[in-house]
Amino acid sequence: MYQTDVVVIGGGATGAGVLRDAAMRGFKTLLVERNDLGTGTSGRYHGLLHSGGRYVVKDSISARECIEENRILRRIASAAIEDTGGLFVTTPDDDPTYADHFAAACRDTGVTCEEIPVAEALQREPLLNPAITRAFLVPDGSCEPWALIDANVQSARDYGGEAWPYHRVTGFECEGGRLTAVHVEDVRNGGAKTIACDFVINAAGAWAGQVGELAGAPIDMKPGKGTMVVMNHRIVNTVINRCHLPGDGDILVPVGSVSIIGTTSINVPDPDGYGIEPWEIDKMLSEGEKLIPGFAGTRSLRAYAGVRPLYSDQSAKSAQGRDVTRSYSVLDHARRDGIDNFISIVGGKLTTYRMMAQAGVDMLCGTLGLTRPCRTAWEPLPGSENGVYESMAHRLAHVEEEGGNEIELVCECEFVRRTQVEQVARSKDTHDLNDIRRELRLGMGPCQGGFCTYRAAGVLHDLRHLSPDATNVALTRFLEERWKGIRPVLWGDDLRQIRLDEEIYLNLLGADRFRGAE
Amino acid sequence: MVDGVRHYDAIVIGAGLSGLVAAGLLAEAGARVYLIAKGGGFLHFTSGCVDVWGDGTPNPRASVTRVSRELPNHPYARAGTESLEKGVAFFSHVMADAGYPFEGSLDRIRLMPTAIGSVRATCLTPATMSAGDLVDTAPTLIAGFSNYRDFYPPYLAANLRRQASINVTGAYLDLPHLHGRKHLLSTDLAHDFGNAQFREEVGRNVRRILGGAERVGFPAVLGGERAQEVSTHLQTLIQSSVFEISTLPPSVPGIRLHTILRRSLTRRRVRVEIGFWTGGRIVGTRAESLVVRSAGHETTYTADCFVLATGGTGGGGIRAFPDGRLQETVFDLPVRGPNDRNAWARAEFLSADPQPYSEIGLGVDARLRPLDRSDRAIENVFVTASNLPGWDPVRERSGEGVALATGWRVAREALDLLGLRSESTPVTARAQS
Repeated sequence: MYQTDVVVIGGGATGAGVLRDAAMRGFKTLLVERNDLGTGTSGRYHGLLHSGGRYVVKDSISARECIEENRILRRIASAAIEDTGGLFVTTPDDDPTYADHFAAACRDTGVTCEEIPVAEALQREPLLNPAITRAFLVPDGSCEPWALIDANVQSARDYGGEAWPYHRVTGFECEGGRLTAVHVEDVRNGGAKTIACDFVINAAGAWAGQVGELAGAPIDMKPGKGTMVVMNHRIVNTVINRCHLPGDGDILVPVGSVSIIGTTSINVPDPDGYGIEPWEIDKMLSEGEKLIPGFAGTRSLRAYAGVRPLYSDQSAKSAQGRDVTRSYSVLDHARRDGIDNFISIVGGKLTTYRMMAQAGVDMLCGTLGLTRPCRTAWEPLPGSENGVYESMAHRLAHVEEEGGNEIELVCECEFVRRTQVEQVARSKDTHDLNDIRRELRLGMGPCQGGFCTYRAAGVLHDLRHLSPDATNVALTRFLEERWKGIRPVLWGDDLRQIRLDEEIYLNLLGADRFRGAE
Repeated sequence: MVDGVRHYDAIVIGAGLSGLVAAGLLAEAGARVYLIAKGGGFLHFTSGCVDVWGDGTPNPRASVTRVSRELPNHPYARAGTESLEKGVAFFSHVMADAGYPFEGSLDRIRLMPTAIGSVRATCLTPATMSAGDLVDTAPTLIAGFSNYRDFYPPYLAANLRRQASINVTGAYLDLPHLHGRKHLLSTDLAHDFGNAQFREEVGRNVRRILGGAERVGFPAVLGGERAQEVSTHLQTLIQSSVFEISTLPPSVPGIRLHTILRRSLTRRRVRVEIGFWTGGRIVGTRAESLVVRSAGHETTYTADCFVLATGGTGGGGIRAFPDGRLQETVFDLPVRGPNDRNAWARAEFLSADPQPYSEIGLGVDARLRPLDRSDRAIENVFVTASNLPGWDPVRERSGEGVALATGWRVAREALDLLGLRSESTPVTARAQS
């Protein structure tokens, strides 16, 4: 039996943040995640580092949390954050009186905000709707969730923490009002494991209700689906928000070589059971058109959806969708359910993951009567010590500077080098090409994995990390995973691209016709 | 002739296999032909083989006969088996004439290794690929290049051992000649293989690791159009059979086909222009003219007939819009296919069943003439290959077969219209030099 002080359930940003914080405060901590790290909501959001501007008018608590954490993350997680800045713009479709409320609310909540002349905004972002009437500059940014999560886990490991991806919680051992052990299933290799522990922190986000139920502590989660569309170009260099009450399709975030428009907000009963509806795509495109004329005719690359871990307590039980606060809660199950050593962290934003982790570990310390101050707001994450974000231009510079065979590009769209793929492929956390994709943005650019999928499969096989059968499975899974995102936006040039990609993978390579495999 | 207007017997729009072949056949019969295309055509992305029907049955000709009977809307059924035979014969003739012979027959499937060690069922292959036929189970060495990203011999060999029960090993050649070369493409290597010293270096390195192998497979980069000579020289150097395996684009064997066909057109005095946008005009049931847009100006061309070889939804001949509209991009002809984008694709990318988006095409009559919105045939326009509905080149493994069959068939129809048809022309006449 495995023994630890604290078990953290959930490998998203919050769980990774808790793992790091608890490990830094001297707890022997183990994180378990049913899938790979960052495959739930954290890996399926629009990539926005909130300034808080979005919430200043209606959800001031969340706005204050966002701006506070925004400043901290720029300090500790610079490698994962691109300082794009953000604009709130009033389009002809927006209530013109909102802008003044917005400016006042920014002042009240402490969200840095500067109104700039429309001409300046248009100079900064030439594709913006020229009919906008107001423009406010805020410190929004773009955040790479997988880089952030990996850095948290890496830091936690330096402090003795451990993370077990692909381990699903199946139940708890409960004795005298305490959880004494966590039962997990090894999803990859099969088999059950039991982890004896002193404390359990539920950071399963939208799945927190399911974990709570296993522990006998029901939590009323209201998973809220949001759909996003990835556009082929970096249409803007600044995050663009509509200056109105938060609605559908009113944020456009530049991420690497693409830009992402989001989102919808729909309550779903099951955080795993949701699809992307055609109307959601249409909505994103038509709303995008209001920000950027011509937007709907721009090539879209793929669509994806995530579920917000929304939670509303008894007092706000009737709130739905956008009316549910984006703030977070730490649930003390000792008080709520009579389980002494179990807490759940619910609600919140990726932007506030660190604050949520701190609040959780603070409660843990409080319960145990310990005074161990949190240091995560001050100690930079691994890779962020020098405060530099590696942009596409930096990656290209590496390719041009380095010599020898190691500069081979596996993915031209995102400038992913062979050495990087090899490094990730050797990691014990890497099981398939989707793991490499999340780490390196492999296959996330315009060619939709058309070229790099085959190359990465070849590299994986060569490193003997995978058998030929396993390589084939990894290759086909990767293609099908990409397909899920492409299919909802399959028209125009995306359709032409797919007809090239199917020529490559079916006709040239025969990936649909392996015989004797599996 | 009005200033700025030009007239041709036939204008072919599109530079893929069917367009190039149709233009060649028309010119050979004496027509004045203008071939215009927006892009370089799909051959640059293909295997460079002639796929006819690859569902695992041993005889492609029999499969085509069966398909023609069972699927009346399939392009094979519309073009007829004779068109396939004659189209393939013309193609093989042009290739042989250029010193790049094709081998195989319509009566036997060829099973060739793919770059991941799966097996592809094709029909004719360039002679430079023939020794790879998996009917032959001779011990095999697969050789790649250590800094070439688009070919992984160990993965290929590991799969092929299981797929085809062949004793096969894979190895990388680490050639001093290639050291320090960045981002090698297939076309770069093809250029290197044109150099005899490079071939000798390859030969020496392969000899060292040959072991008991009786044939050596390379990625398909063994020279440009002179691949036949290059591969013969390599066989002498290595003293074993040598064959090429198609790999990721740019496809060197595909480019060879494009280059050879295009040069044969120039020799037949076809005017070829690539890189221009075009828009056509139909009056009543006749196509009148084509406007060609290039930098800064438009030119109007008229012709007695037009071949629409623009490549369907993949090639840009048909554009699909998010609201479900399907638009033919040259003449704005009506498109047959679901006007609902949610009905265009299956849940699985690797589905063995045809993808609905592949089956989108123009309605045509028995002579491959497109139908207008009142179902009247446009009498002087002929439609080829991926612009035709009711087939899936990838899942059928039939792309080149359908291109050759429909390319040949539309040329015959156009020649009938022009009054230029002669029975002996398409197959037997020699290329002019």
